[in-house]
Amino acid sequence: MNPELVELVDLYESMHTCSGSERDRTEATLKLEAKVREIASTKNLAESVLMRHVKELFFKRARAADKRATGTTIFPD
Amino acid sequence: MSPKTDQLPGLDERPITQDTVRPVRALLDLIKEDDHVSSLARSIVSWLAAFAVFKKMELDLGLPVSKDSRLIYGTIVAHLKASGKFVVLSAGRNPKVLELLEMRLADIEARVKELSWDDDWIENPITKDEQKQLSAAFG
Repeated sequence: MNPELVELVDLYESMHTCSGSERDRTEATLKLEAKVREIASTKNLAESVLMRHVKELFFKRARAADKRATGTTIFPD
Repeated sequence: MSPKTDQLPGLDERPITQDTVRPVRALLDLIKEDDHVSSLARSIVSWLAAFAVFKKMELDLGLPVSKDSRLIYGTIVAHLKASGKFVVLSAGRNPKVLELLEMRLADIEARVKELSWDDDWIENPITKDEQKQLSAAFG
């Protein structure tokens, strides 16, 4: 995956991660929004398209992590 | 918020096994067979319930659900928007988990509603044209 996308997905995951305080999650949200704006502008993409792509990649990555951890996953293909 | 492990003795680091995943699969199978449940609701069950609600469990209930162990309790709470009802299923490893969930269902429902913006990528998946734009941008 492109390093910029990896960074965005990491930030998205930070927003939802179980660890960390509410403040950490708020900071992650702000960072993600800023990064999405920056990359979307640089790449001439709509922010909404980039954000939907990030969410999709996040769930795909989480599904793969579940498969690795459990040998199976509840998440649909 | 620190995990309330004193309320849930021995539950903090249980490994995921087929036994813990099976009840979740059973719930998904039930939903699959229910014609009254919309495809969006199925998506919500599959995605939001497994992520948002499990994270909610940790944040508000203090359950220590780690990143790769979010199914550790084998418990799923799904907000079925189509029917407007909750389904609660527990692996039954510890009734205290279900008890806590039942006590906080109203809070969980509110949180799932708050997170409904996360549905947008399911409701509006990336189109072929958008995929081309993304491929051009990121290779």
